[in-house]
Amino acid sequence: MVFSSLPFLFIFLPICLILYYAVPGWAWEKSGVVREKSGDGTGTCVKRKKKDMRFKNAVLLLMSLVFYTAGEPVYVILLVLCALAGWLSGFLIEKYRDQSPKKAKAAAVICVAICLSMLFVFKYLGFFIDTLRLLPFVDLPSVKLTLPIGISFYTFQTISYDIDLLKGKAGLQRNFGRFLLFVSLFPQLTAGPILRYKDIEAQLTDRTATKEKFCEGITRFLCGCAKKVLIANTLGELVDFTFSAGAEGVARANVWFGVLAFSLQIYYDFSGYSDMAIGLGKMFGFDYAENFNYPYVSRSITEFWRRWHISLGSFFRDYVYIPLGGNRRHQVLNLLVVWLLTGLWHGAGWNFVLWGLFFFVLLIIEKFILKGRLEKIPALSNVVTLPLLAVGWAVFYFEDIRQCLTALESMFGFGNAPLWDTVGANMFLAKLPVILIAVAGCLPLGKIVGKKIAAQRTRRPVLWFTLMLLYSATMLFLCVCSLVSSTYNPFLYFRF
Amino acid sequence: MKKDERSKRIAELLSTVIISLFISVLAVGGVTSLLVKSGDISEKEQRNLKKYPEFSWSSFFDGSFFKETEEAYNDRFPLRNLFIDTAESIREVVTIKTGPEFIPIANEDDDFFNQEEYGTPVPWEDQTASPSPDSGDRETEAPTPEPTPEDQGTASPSKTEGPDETPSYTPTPLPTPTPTPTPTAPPSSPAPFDISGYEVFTGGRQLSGVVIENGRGMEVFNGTAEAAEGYTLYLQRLALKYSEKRVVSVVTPNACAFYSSSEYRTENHDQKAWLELAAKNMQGVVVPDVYGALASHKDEYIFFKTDHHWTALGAYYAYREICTELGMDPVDIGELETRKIEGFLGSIYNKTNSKTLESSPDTIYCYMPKVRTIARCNQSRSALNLSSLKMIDTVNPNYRGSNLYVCFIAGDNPYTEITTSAGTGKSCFIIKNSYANCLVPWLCHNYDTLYILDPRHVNTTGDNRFSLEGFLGSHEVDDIIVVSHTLFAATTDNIFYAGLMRLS
Repeated sequence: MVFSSLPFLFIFLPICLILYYAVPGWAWEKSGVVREKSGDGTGTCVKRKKKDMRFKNAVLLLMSLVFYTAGEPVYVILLVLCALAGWLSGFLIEKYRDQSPKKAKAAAVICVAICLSMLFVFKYLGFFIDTLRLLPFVDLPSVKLTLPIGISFYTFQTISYDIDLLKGKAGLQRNFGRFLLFVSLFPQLTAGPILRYKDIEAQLTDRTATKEKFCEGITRFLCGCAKKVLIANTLGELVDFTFSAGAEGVARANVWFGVLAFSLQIYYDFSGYSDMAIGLGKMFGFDYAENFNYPYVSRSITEFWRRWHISLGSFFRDYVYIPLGGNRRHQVLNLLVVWLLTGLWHGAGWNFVLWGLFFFVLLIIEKFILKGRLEKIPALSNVVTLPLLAVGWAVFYFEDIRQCLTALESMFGFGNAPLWDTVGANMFLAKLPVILIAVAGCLPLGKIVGKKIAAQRTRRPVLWFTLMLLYSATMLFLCVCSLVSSTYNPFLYFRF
Repeated sequence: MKKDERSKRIAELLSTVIISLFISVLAVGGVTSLLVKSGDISEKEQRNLKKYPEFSWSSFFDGSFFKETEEAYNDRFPLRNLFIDTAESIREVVTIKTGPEFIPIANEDDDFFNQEEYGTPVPWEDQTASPSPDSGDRETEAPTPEPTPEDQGTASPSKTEGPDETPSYTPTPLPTPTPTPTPTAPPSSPAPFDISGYEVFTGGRQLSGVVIENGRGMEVFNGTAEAAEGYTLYLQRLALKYSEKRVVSVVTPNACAFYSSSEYRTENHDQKAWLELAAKNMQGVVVPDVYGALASHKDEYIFFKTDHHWTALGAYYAYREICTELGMDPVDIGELETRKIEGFLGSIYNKTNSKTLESSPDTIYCYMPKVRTIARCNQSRSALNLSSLKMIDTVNPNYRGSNLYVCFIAGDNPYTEITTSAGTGKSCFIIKNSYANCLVPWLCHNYDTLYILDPRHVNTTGDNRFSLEGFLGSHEVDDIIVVSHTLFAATTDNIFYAGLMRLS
């Protein structure tokens, strides 16, 4: 199930919200009866209610599993197994952490290995074997396994629990239900953001969805839905049309148009989905960290990666880069490893490795040659950074390395593609208004306006209410119109 | 501060309102979508709506159960037409149109859309043999066919008509048909396919969609050499196998060949070139020059603007060409009664929802056959149960269903059989797609019996398949006519082509 779909909006979500708020968020204290002495010596029995998320968590867990099963009726078992491995190893880590740290580390390593092997088998095995088959003496059969949805996310989340626990940054989770909830929370299960256990730990047992937070969640969710359905899908039509038969023979101008459209599409698609995830989280009282921060205003590639898919970047920084030595020991090698992994995480293909390497080279240049000088020049730095990102997206888009090279050739004046093509140009012009809206949306205006409106909530509540209502109603209506009228609803980051 | 307190309380209250509205709207929408029954047919889109799948453990585990359930849910969402129309209006607002507007549409073989009942067909006895003076909905401004170049010099029909005059024609004599030359040595096998000069059809960009230009919607053609080879081979084999019959290939171009900007009808989108390629590779097959016949009349109303078909007038010009090639006398259009059906918004409008097309709908001109006809058809695809044929009209100008093109031979049915009072002693077997529907009424004037098969809607493989050989063995047939349009004959990935290739 995808968030931006009619069944999710009208069946799953209302049922989930109603059930969640129908069950109590408290439970009677275990002791049940408390004797209180009053002044005259008699005692009164007082039963106290204590905040307890167990029922609400149960609803969320059940709904999350239903949500996942609808998309992956078979591989839901992998999700549960992964969570089980993480949870069980947690006990071993906790037990040995202080006395025999080596044993604790071993337990963590075993669990991480289990998670990564799961990821390797389902995501990379086919690619690995295909690569081996290029060698002359290898005679292996080709392997094609379907990629279980969200495997790149829930394996990483489980890993984060083990490592955080090992390092003492998080506490042991004794309750499997709660741990499974962390791993399978439906708002972020299929496409992130990647949650760290230490950030969610407290919220599992203690969170409140204040009305203010819930309303923020509604607008955030609808904003994300609009980004995906109204903008990303429309741009996707142009991209698909331009590259419907690969990059061969496509006019140069069209390749640039297509790459530009794709750069915008992937941003709106992915950040839209993250917005929906964060919005949904808020509706249930969760606060997730931001995953995107207007990445296209970046003045350098370094800055870009602090603004794009933040949860992934910080995951690799904390769990790969820093443990390897960070910028203290063999920094260049560490960066290389991180960027190869970042590229590979996005897909099992050589173009993704190339994409990672491309950023590695650019980052090295920025770190050691430019040393932050370019970043300081306002407009020039943007003008340099954006085309570089576009080139990166061209590499990202074409999974076939030959198509990839053809596209790059066309973009930079080599090869023998024609310069111009009327049909493609007309298509681009036709979509230009949406492209301009998309480009305008890359500026942090939305955030500024959103903050201003939120500030009015307690000062001029009626104004705030009117704006909220108008915005939500319009976005919801437009999204439904678009969803009903088209079956075109691709989700790019679904292959992760 | 009291004011602060009050504001806070109002904010909380209004927040509750928003939250409640949000949940209620979604919940009410959900309940409505589950309770309200949608029909099974989308008239707007001219297709069957997806059905909810049957549950089975295997479909559950391979994911198809949820996928199909979701698709069916999306298809049957309430107020579907309202949402689609709104989405289209908004799309028009945020789209810059620079002349021709190309709308990419994925090629889908639409689900066979079974027509609903359209009334009792006119029985044989009541069909007039010649136009009678006062028969109801009389058309007075039928488009006049213009004389083809070879007709010049003879008495030409008067072209000016007042609104209350019936079109008057002086029948124009046609040139004596050139006798088909007898081949000197009958070939024993099909000639090898020769692509020289037409290599452009081995590659080229695929533009799958519709271009809207000057208020006309046209499907773009992407011809392939592969399809040409398969098609010409099939026709030649047919000619060899049934050498005592005449095999005729009627492939017609669509409007895009005549009315679109050059980028949509050159290179591998060039229908004229593809037709030449096909024609030069068909030995032993009669190939009328349909393209030429239509080209010389392209300023007339020979194609619909909102539908992908040609009009009955366009079919008439092709019919005259076919008659010339086959040595038959075509009927004179001036002798036929014309009726019209207005407000036709066809397939292209349905696929694109274009407001441009909506604002200028088509008119269907029905030319009532001069001969009497009895037409019956079969609507089930499994091997024909010829005893359960249903009576239909050859041309029904009173049809008012959702797809008005169905007025011609009741649309696309697996098998149709027409007996006429033409008295020529000849019969034909027509293998067709929907383009033949308005051609058939013309051919009724030259054949006593017409057997019509749509290879998309019969089984062509398996135990229950339609056997062409069997049928031709047990029925008298003089001519085998294969009728389709370029989009179907020149590409291999459509069910007409697939069905045709398997028909034997």
